[in-house]
Amino acid sequence: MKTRIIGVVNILNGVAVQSIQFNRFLPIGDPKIAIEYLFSWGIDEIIILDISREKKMFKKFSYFIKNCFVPVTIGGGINNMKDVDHLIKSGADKVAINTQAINDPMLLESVSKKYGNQALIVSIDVKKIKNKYTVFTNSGMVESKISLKEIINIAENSGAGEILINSIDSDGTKKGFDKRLFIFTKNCTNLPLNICGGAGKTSHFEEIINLGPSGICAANFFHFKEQRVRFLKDYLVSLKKNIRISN
Amino acid sequence: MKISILDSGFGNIRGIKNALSFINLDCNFVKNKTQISNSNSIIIPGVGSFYQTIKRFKKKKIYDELVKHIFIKKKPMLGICLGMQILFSNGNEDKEINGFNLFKGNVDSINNTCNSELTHNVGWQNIKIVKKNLLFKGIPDNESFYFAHKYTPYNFNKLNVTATYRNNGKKMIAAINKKNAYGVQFHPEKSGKFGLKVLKNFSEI
Amino acid sequence: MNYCSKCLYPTSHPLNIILDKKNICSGCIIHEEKNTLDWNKRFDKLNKIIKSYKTKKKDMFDCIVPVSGGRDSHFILHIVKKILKLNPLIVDYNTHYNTEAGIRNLNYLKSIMGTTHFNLTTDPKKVKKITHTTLKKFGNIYWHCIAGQTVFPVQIACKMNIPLIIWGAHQGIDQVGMYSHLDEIEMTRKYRKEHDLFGYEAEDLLEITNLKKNDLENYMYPSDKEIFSKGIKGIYLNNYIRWDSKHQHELMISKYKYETVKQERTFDTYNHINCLHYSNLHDFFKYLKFGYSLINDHCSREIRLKRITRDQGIYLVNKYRNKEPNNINYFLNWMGIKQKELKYLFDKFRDTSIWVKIKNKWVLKNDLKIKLDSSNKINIFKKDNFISNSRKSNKEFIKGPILFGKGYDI
Repeated sequence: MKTRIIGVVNILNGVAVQSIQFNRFLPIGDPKIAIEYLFSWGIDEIIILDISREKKMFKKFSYFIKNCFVPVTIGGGINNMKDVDHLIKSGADKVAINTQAINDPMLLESVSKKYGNQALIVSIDVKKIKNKYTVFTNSGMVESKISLKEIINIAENSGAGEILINSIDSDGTKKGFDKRLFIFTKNCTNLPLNICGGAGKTSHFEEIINLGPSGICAANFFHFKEQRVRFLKDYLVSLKKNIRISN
Repeated sequence: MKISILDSGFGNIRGIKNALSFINLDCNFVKNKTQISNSNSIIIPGVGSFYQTIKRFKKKKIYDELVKHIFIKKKPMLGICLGMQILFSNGNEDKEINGFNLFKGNVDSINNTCNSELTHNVGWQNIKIVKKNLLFKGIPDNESFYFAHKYTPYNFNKLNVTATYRNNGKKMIAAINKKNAYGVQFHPEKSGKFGLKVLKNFSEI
Repeated sequence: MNYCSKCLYPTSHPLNIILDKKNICSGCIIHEEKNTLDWNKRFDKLNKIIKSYKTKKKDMFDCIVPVSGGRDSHFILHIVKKILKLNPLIVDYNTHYNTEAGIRNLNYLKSIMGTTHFNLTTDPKKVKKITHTTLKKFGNIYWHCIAGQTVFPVQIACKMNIPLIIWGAHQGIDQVGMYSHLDEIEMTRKYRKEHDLFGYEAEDLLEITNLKKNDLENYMYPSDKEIFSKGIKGIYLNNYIRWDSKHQHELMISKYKYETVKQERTFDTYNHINCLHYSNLHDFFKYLKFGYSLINDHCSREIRLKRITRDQGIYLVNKYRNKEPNNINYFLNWMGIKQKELKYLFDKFRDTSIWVKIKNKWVLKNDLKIKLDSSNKINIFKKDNFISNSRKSNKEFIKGPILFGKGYDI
C-alpha cells in the first residue's frame, strides 16, 4: 500500500491552530477553509483533532468537512458510543480515541465491533521522561501509568485498525519526526502505524518514509508555503517513493 | 436531471450529497417505492453487510422497485462499494443471501477469496482501466482511488469488468458495468478530484 | 469579548488572538521574538534565499515588489534595491481612493529608485459596481483594494515569469502571531481568501452576488497549476528584518523625503496616508463590526515596542476611536449614494453581540478601562513624536480622490 500523507487540523475552541509541544497555540483560522485547501492541494487523508480542553466541537464537524472528499478521521474528547455514533453520522470515516483508550478500553471494542476495525484509530501521545517513552492523556496533561507497550496491546486486542503515535516533544518544533519513537513502536506491533510531530522540511518526510509508516502526519507544516502538499509529493515521487500522486 | 441517492439507513449519503453539490449537480434522497419509481438515476451507497442490506431493502419494500429500475426501466444506476457487491448473484457476509444477480458471481471475504493475509482493503489503490467506458471519461489510467472493504466478488465474468486493482498479485474488481448499471468498489466521494470526476461522468450518462 | 493583558487587541479580532494563562495574546508572544532572535542571522538567511533568484542578465527583473504611496513600500524598495542589490519590477494597484500626498510619494519613489513600474487601474465604473456590492453585502469598501493589491503582483509574476515576489510585513504574524518568524511563512492563496478577503475571492462573489465575470476578471487569481509550475513564491521581509514601522518610515523621511499626513482617527501620520478612506470610513466599519479600530493596531504596536504603556494606549484609543471619519462626503459622491443609505448600513453592520445601546448611546459591552489620571493625559504624544513632512508648496491641497496624478522626473 502507498504511504499516506495525512494533514492534521488541530482545533482549539473552534479555531484551527498551530500546536507547539501541546502547550503553545497560534491561530491559523477557520478549520473549514484549512480542510478545503488541504483537500485541493492533494492530501491523502485528514485527521481533525479537537484539542479544546473544555468544549467539544462535534456539532460543527459536518460543516467543517463539507468540501472535503478524502477520508476523514475525527478525534478529541470522544467519551462514549453516543459520541462515536454522532461523529460517524456526521461523516467521519474513522474515529481517533486517545484518553478513553486507557480509561475505557471496552469502548474500543464496541466501536470496532459496530463500525469495523478500519473505523477505529487508537491515538497515543508520548513524551520522553527520564529517557523513557511515557504515555500522556487529556491533551498531554495527565501522565499515564500505562506503558506504551501496554496501550498498544490494548489497541490490538480491542480491534483497532490503526495506531497514531504523536510525539509531544517534537510537536511544532520543525526538527524532524522522532524516528526512534517510531522504530520502538513498530517493533511492538503489526498494526498500521501513523507518525506525527516535528515536520519542518521535506527531507524529514524522506527520512521517515524509509522506515515504513502507514501514514505520515503533519499539521503546521502544510500551512507555511503555497501548495506545500504538492511540492512535498513531487519531491517524494522524484525520489521514487510509493505515494499517491495525481497526474 | 436530478440524481437520486438511496437512503436506506446505511451508507454515507451526506458525503455523496456534498460531493454532488460541490460539482454543482442537483440531487435528492429517495427512501420509498414511490420516490424510487419517480427517479431518473440512482446512486446506491453501501455500508454494513450484504445480508443486512438485502434484508432491509425487502423489509422496506423497495427491493422490487430497484429491480424494476435496473432491469425493466433500464435507468442509470451506480452502486458504490457494498452497493456494487449486491448486484452480484449472492453474498456470504453474515448469512448467505441472494443479490440482484445482474452480474454472475459471488461475494465473500478477501481473506477467503484471495488466500492472502490481507483481511481489509483499506487505502489508496491504483486502478487499471481495462475497458473504456463513460464512467472513466477523462481519467488517466493508473490513478488512485480510495477503497475500504472486507468483502469482494469472485467467480465473476471478466466481460463486464471495466477496471481492476491488484491484491497480492491477484486482479480484483475496481469497477464493473453492464448497460445502464455501474458498480465501483472504491468510494468516489472519498477519492479526491478523480472521484468527483467519476460522479460527474455518471451524471452525464 | 476579552482583551489581551499586554496590548490592546480584543478577542473579537477577525484573525483570532489566542490568550494564554496570563491572558497574554499570541501576537504579543510572537512579538517577543523581535527581542530574542538573532536578526543578523535572519538577514543572512534572506540573502541566501534571494541568491538563487538573482538573474545574471542586467536587464532582467530579479523580483517583483508590490508598492503603494503609503505604508512600507519605500522601506521595502530601499532594502530590495540598495541593500539586497536586486533589480525589481514594481507594481501597484490603483485603489481609486488616492490622496495627493500618496500620489506624490509613489511618483517620487519611482523616480528616485529608477524602477520600471506597472500599474493596474480598473475601469472606475466596474470598481464602483464591485464596491457598492461589497458595501451592501459585507459593510466593506475595501474588498477591491485588497483583492487588487494581492492579485496583481501574482498575475504579473506569472505573465512575465518573475517568480519571486517580495512583500513587507505579514499581517497575521504582525498583529496576532499567526505564525512564528521562524516559520518563514510564504504567500498563499489560502491566506488571501480567508484573511485578506474574509472568505470571498472573486469566484465566490460571482456565485453570491449579481456581479459578472466581466466586472471581476481583473481580480481572478492565476490557477494552482500555473503557480505551481512557475514556482511563484512570495516572501515577507518581516521574517528576516526586525520590523518597526515607525523607525522605518522615519528613515524613509530622512532619506527620500517621504510625505506624511495628519490623520483623524489615529496619531500615526505615516501609514495609509495614501488613502482617503482607510483610516476613516473603512476604519469606522471595522469599529462597528469588531469593536476595535486602527488606533488599537497602532497603540498595540507602540506598546509592544515599549514606546508607550498600556494605560497610555487605552487613553489614546479612547481619544481617537470616536472621532468622526473624514472624507465621507467624497465617498458618498464617488459611490453615488446618500448619507441616509450609509447610516442604514452602519446600523446593519454594527455587531450587537459586542455593542449595546445605553441611554441612546452605543457602547461596547466589554470595554477597555481608562486608568490614567488627568495630569498624565497631557503631552503623551508630543507634537514632534511623529515627524511631519510635506513636499507641498503653499498651493492648495487637492482634497478629494485622485485617479491619476502628475509624475515627477528628478
